[in-house]
Amino acid sequence: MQGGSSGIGYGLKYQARCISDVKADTDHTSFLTGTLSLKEENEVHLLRLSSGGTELICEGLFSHPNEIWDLGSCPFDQRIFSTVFSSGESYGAAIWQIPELYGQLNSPQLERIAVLDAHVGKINCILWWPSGRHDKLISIDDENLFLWSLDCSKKAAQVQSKESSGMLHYLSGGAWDPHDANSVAATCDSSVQFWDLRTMKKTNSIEHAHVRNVDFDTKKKHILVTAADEYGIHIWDLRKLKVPIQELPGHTHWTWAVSCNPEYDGLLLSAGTDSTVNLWLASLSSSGDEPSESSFELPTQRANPLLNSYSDYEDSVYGLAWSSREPWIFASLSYDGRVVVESVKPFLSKI
Amino acid sequence: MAMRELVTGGAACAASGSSSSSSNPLGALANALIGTSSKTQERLKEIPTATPTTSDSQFYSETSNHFTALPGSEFDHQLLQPNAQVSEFLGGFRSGNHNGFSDVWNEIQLQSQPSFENFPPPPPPQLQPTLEGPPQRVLSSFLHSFVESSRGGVPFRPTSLPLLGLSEGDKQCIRDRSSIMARHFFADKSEDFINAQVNSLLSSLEIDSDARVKGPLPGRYRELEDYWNESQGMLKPGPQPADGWVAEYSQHRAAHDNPNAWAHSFEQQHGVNGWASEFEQEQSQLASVDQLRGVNISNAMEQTRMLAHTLAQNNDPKFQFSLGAKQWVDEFAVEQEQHGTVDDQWVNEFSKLHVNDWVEEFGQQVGDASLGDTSADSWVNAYDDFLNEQVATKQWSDASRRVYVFSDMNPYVGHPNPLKEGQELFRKGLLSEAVLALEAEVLKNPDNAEGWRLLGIAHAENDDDQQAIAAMMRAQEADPTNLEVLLALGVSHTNELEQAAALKYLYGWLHHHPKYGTLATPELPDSLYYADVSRLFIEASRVSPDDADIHIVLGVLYNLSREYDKAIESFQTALKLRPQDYSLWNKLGATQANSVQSADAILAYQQALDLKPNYVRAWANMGVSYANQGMYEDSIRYYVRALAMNPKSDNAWKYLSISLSSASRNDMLEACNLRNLDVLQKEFPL
Repeated sequence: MQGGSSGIGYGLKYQARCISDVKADTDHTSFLTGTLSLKEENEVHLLRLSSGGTELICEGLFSHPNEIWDLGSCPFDQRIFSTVFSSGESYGAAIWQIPELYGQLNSPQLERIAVLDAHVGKINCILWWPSGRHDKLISIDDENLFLWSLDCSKKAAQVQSKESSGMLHYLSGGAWDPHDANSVAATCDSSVQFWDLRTMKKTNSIEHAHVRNVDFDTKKKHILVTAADEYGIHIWDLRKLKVPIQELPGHTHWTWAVSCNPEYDGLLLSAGTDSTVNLWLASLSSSGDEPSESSFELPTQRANPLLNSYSDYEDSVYGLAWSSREPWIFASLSYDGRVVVESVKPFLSKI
Repeated sequence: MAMRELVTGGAACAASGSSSSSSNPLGALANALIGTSSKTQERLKEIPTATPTTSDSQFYSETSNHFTALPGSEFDHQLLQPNAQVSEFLGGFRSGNHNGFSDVWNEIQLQSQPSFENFPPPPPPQLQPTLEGPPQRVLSSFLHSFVESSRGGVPFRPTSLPLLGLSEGDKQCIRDRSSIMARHFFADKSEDFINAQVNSLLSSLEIDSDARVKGPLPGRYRELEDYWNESQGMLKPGPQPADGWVAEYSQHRAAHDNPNAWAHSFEQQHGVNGWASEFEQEQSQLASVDQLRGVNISNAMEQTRMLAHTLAQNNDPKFQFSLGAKQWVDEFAVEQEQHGTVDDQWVNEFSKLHVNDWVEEFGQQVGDASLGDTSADSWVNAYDDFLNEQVATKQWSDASRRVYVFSDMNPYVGHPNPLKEGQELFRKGLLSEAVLALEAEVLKNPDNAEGWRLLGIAHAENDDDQQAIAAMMRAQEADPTNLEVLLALGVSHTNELEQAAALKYLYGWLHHHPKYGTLATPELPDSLYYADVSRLFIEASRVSPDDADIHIVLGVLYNLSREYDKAIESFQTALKLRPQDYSLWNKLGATQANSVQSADAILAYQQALDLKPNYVRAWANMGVSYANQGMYEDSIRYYVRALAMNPKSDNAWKYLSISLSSASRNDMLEACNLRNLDVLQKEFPL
């Protein structure tokens, strides 16, 4: 193995795309990951970083009926998570609960606590509001955006409101603004749309952007990061959506995923089909007062914002997750089912 | 030799891509086995005539003092007791005295046999065995059963396993090690047999065996099938054994109404009997159900017995004359004499392993069993206490990461005035030497706040925040209001990205400051908010704009909130007041680097190094800044320079290896992994 890789690895048996930080587990740094195998029975693995941070331990292994295309851990209950799955022709979405484990040998069945069954087309993602206990969920399919109200104790999810994006726009994903529970950003084929969940109306949009993935900065308000296939990474101020406040080159092939550090604004991860994960330190410092020409004349001392490029992957990387408990740690998942956990501490300077 | 290398995971066994296999079950298992035996063997020398059943209390008190006060801790006996036997066994083995060897064996056998009658009726074997659970556990059980199959040379039957998610590296490791190990286990068997055994193992794990181990699968026989089913049953503990257990416990309880009776019966049942059943099995070559129960109770016991088994096989004359085994034993003996510390590591590893496994399995049995009767309930409660204690111990060990780690072989111990020597060395810029002298000082005077403080500063300048924090916490214990200590703790916690702790100490700085203390509330609040703390400091900076310290703390605070522009401004203000402060130049540089101004950062670091040429932190930071600009060759030179001054910096070695990879200098990675500074300095002069 290359000495350059300081990461801790874990192999899933099958191909996989989705990994999520288990934010509600405040005692351990844990991640949930789900596989995407066409023929086989799929699996959800609950991984925990050992207390010394030297090992990834499988804390639970559960079978899951279909290919997992999206997975999100509930931010307030570590045993609950959502998946979007497909059996090839049809799509489904559900909320699951991990049974109590007590160190059993047998792999118990996941309990399905709610089915989000109002969709007809291809479901893209389920969003949890990232900043704590909130009884609402958003699900996005090709044409519609649903707001669900979820009651875990009654094991029920009901559609609260629904809106269609219009025939000409195919939705592909989105992100929920952690600073505003009423605002969600949805990615469309050639734009990013901002929705107000109270009125279920579009409020704003970024046009002419072929965005693959979006993420809000959790620390700084009004900051959205987008990853576009061929155009790299853009950082936007929601108050001025005409021009991005910063552009990062992205990847040598398509940029698929982008993720903002939960604690350190400007610390970004991106992943792509060039089988690398890039760590960026972008400057989000208030360009609010400066004239917009600054985006043409970048100050010279703003050197390369790329801190590191993790290239020790053998397949495209689709899954990225920062740990919210130890925010200098992140997990990445390459399509060959390999989870790698890395620390970004080596790339920060010590005062 | 080969065996040792195998179990210690020597270079020959390492598979490329094995960074993925952070745990190797086979290696860990073997380590655990050898580890315990060697340690107990050492102890055995102090006990000329160790009798297994009585001597265990000595081992017990040595190894697990913290359990003694606990009700239910008697159960611990069963973990340690077999070791005494094993070590005695091994002792006989090592001395090469075959008479003594067999005497000991017979003795154990005799002692063990009477206790057979205590066995409860065997549970019915489970006919449809399944291997399920998290991959690691399944894999480890499965490998156990493979090793198990070496008893009596029973062919190993392939089975279908759940998905284990093994990486290529894992697979290669298992393939290599199982092939070699099998040759040791079956030294008296034909090559075909060995190949078949290994093949079955590998095919179950879906590992492609190479041509070397390809061979026909052994035919299936009815009795083997039964054996297999039985041995599978043991991997899946059912409620029956636990029930039987509880029943027997109640019985004993009724018979002898005295608390020791339980301990006694438990010990008999699970300590000696496990061992005895092992022996019975050895003799009859049949898997006894009681032995299977033993496995349920504790993996540790299982492992201990496997060691005994392996050694028992050595009794076979063929194995005795096997060159490999002899070499292994010799090397083992030499190793034993030369490296006491290695044994300690093994023992540690083992104790970690067996306690956790055991507790886990036990908790599971408690969960499985339907324990209705009240005496059993109290017994369960005792176990809950024990489990809680385990958790507490674990948490304590987490906290112990902050315990200061002293160097071995400190030449300054015994120095008449190590503090003065340490201060002198620190002034000369010999940080690593100063650390040693100051360690000698705080060993001599553990309450010397100044000694701890300077030690903390030396570590921080040596780029080791963990040790700096550990030392500074001792300094703060001795002198809770020392402002320099509080600031240093704030800085180091900021570097370790521990915001809450950093905020606490920075607030403490203000709170204890003679001039600004009045700004802070008289009581230290339980929870601090960043905005409140920074507001207080801004206020203080208005009160005395010429106090450099205030600007420094503000700069650190802005680093915490990642308002780097303001942090840079604060440090620059402080530098105007204190231009000769090298650590301040470094703080400025690091802040600039973290706000993506690496070119400016390098200028600031250069200032720091002009003032203090041996400032390891600034050298390392230089490396980070060059690496962040993609100038990996340059960064390598700075890391190597930092390491030349502080070769103990694990961080710097890690950074160096990352830069070497990024610079495509994989040719130098080996030197980096071996920590060969001479080679690296020659290759990357500055």
